[in-house]
This record gives sequence, C-alpha cells and structure tokens, in this order.
Amino acid sequence: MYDKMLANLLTAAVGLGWMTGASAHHSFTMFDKTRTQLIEGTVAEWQYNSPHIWLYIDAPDAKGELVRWGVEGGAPLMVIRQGVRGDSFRLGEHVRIVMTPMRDGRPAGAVCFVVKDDGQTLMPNDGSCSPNGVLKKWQDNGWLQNGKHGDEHPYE
Amino acid sequence: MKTHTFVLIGLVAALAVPGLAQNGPGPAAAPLPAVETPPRAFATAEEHYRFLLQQANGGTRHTLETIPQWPGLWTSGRNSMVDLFLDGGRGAGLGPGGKVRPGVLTPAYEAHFSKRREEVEKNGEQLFDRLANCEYPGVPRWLWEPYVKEFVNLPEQSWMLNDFMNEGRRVYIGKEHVNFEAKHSSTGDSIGFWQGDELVIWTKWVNPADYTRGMPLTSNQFEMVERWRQVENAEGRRQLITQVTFYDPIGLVAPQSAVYVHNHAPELEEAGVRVRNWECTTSTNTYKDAEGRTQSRLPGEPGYKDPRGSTEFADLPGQSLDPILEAQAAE
Repeated sequence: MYDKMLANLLTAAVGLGWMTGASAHHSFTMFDKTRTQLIEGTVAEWQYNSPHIWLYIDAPDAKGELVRWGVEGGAPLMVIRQGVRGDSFRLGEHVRIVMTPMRDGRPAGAVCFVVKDDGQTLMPNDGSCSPNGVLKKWQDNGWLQNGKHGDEHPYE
Repeated sequence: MKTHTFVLIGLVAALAVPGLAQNGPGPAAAPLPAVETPPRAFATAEEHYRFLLQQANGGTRHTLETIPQWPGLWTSGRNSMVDLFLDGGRGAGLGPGGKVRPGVLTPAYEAHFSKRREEVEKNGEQLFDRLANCEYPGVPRWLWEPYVKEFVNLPEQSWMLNDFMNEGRRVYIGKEHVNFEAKHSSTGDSIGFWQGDELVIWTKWVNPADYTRGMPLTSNQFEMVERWRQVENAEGRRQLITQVTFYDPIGLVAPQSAVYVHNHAPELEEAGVRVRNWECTTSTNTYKDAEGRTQSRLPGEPGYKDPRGSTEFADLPGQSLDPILEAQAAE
C-alpha cells in the first residue's frame, strides 16, 4: 500500500514536470555549490516546517566537543513527493549527511541526501543540490563508504 | 520501506531535482498550451475586462449547483512568462541563461532587469529574494508560486488559496472594484464573472512586486486580466489553464500575454497531505547580509526563531512544541 502510494507520487512528479514551477522562497547563494561535505551525528531536531525543512544533528568536533550542525531542504509539501515525512527521522538516531556547506564556514549547509543506519537514503533536498548525481559520485569513489565526518569533495 | 521504493526515489530525484534547480521544463512535462492573446488590442485592463463582460452578456449567473468546481490539491506547473522577457530564456528564469528581450519593458524597468540578469549570470541566481524577507509573492507572482493550492468557487466569490504564507486571493463575482482602504496590497482587488465554465478576473491596486525571482519588477500601476478554465489533458490529468494579460503602463511598453498551468495533484491527496497554517515572520530565519546575499540564522544566534513556534512557559509540563517526536524518541 505504502509503496503503491509512493510510486504514484513519484510517477506523477515526473510525468507532470511538477518541478518546473518550483521556486524556493529564498536564493541559495549562501551555500557553496562547488563543494560537498559529509557530516555525521545524532539527530537533535527535525523541523518539518514550511517553507524549508531543517535537520539538525550533534556531532563531535576535533576536540570531542559536540557541535550542532544544520542542513536545510525543501518545503514539506515538496519533499513528501520524495518520500520524506514528518516522522522520517527520530530524535537521537545516527545519520550521515552529504551537503553543500555554507560559504561563511558556519556549521550548516543545504542537504543533498541523508543515509540512515539501516541503509535508507533520503533526499529532502531543495534546489541547491542535485542529490542523485552527488550520491553516485560519493558511492563510485568510495567517499561515502570510507568517509568520515568533515570530509569534503568537489560538487562537480 | 523496501529497496525498490528507493530505486523509485532515485529515479525521481535524478529527473526532478535538476529541473528544480534549473527551473526548466521537466523531461516528461506535458506541452504548454498556446498563449491566447486578447481578441483585439486594449489600452487598459478595464477596457479588456469590460469588452469580455459585454461579449458574455454580463456573464453566466451560476448557482451552487451549477458553478464549476476545481476540487483537490493543485501545484503550479509550466508557464510562458519567462519568454516574454528573455530570448532563449525558457528553462532559465531563476538561473542564468537567455538574453534580455529589448523593448518589452520601459527603459527604467529594462535597465533594472538587465542589472538583475547580470547578477544572476555572475552569481548563478539573484542574491536576495524579497520573499526571504517575508514579503508576500502577490500577483502576478502568485500564478507561479509553488507549494500547494486549493480553489473554491462559490456563486458570489472564488477563493484561490496558496499554502505559501496562506496567501489567498478573493475574486468578487459580478461586483465592481472597491478600495475602502485607499491602499494597494499584495494581491490587490479582484472582480470577475463566469462565461460558462470559464472564470474571467480583473485585478488592480497591486503592490509593486515582481513576476518572480530573477524576473522583472512590476509597478504599482500593474493590473491583469485572467481567464481560468479547467481542462483534462491527454493523460486524463485535470489542469487549470490561465490565460493572462499583464497591463503595466509604467513597467511595460505594451500589454503582454502569457499562459500559466496548475496541475491537479491527486498523489498529494493520496499521501494524506493537508494544507496547514503557516506564517512567515514568526518562522523565518533568512535575512539579507551586509553584502546583499541571503543568509540564514542558526540556532543559538541572535534573532533565531524556532520555526515550530515558541512558548514563554517551557518549564511547565505539556508546553513542548515537538511532543510527537519527543515521545517517539522516549520509546
């Protein structure tokens, strides 16, 4: 039942070219779209709110102190088309995220994809990242399998 | 969730996300209907509207039983607006590409648009969008705003509701314009009439805004005449087709016509989507920095707002704004 529903969502999304009208409510120039970065930690907040979802994780820095990282994605009523819902993440669960980081170096970015410990890959992204190509690149180069928190690689 | 589900996610992501980023036509998007220009040239929106009203013999007087219904959830689709202002611009819009079409905009507005496109070419997109400051999209931008829309047609009014900032348009059927506030607003004042199953609308007293991010500005003299009708496309999907003519004696050299599409989204209804209330100023963390770029405040930074809401009584039981996720985490 769930798979049928999701398949309908995805088929409709492709068939209608629904994305052609999409325009996030802000520009993405705060993100450095030339780089991708891996962060991993435990979910601290999952804000499934309009106009952009935000997923926050706590991750230890080089000194072992926890830093809260945040990644922004699309609107709930857009990312639900990619199977991402308000209960897709549990507080405290471990996740790995590949994102395009903020230009100014603050601990945040635009999400490309999120890998959960059970192997699920979710893509609650917005227009700042084309996640499928980034995922393939990270997989093909072994960056995802062998990567650690903070690793960076070019977007292109 | 099963493996093949994620294969589907990958498929749609591969196809959909580049389209999102580029704002271009999707690979399997249905053809855009042809633009229907007005039956003759009109100098003003009023002249255009009055002509159509006369042609319709005052319009069709619908009852609750006969008025066309456009039920369900809708999302904005393709449109021809970008082509009005950019040569080779289809697929660009928000992003780089296309050349400013000369002589469509008045000199001051063309100069501003050219500068805006230079910024887009240099930076990949416009550095700051007024919506990030919680300004309403308004019209004409409403016609292309994404998110989810609903339409309610009643004999006396039509309501056009966008999830985005709860920005609703009200169209007063069979009435004349009224401006008791002596003010402009984001969506202006809309009056209309039905011609059979087609809704004709004239909107005026609109705040100066823009056609969308990366596109030209509109002036406070902007008005538009729309004709809305529901059709079923070749795939059996319901669509709302809007033929619109923009009148802007300050921004446009001459009136311009475009077509917009909204697509019925039964897949969202099947997924259980319901439109919720959300308000921008209490939930947004974006702002314009000193360099004119869009920025976002992070938790702990001055001015950060929790988009889920706020409470002054966090120490009391039952005041959490995230009780469902917290309960799940406690299991």
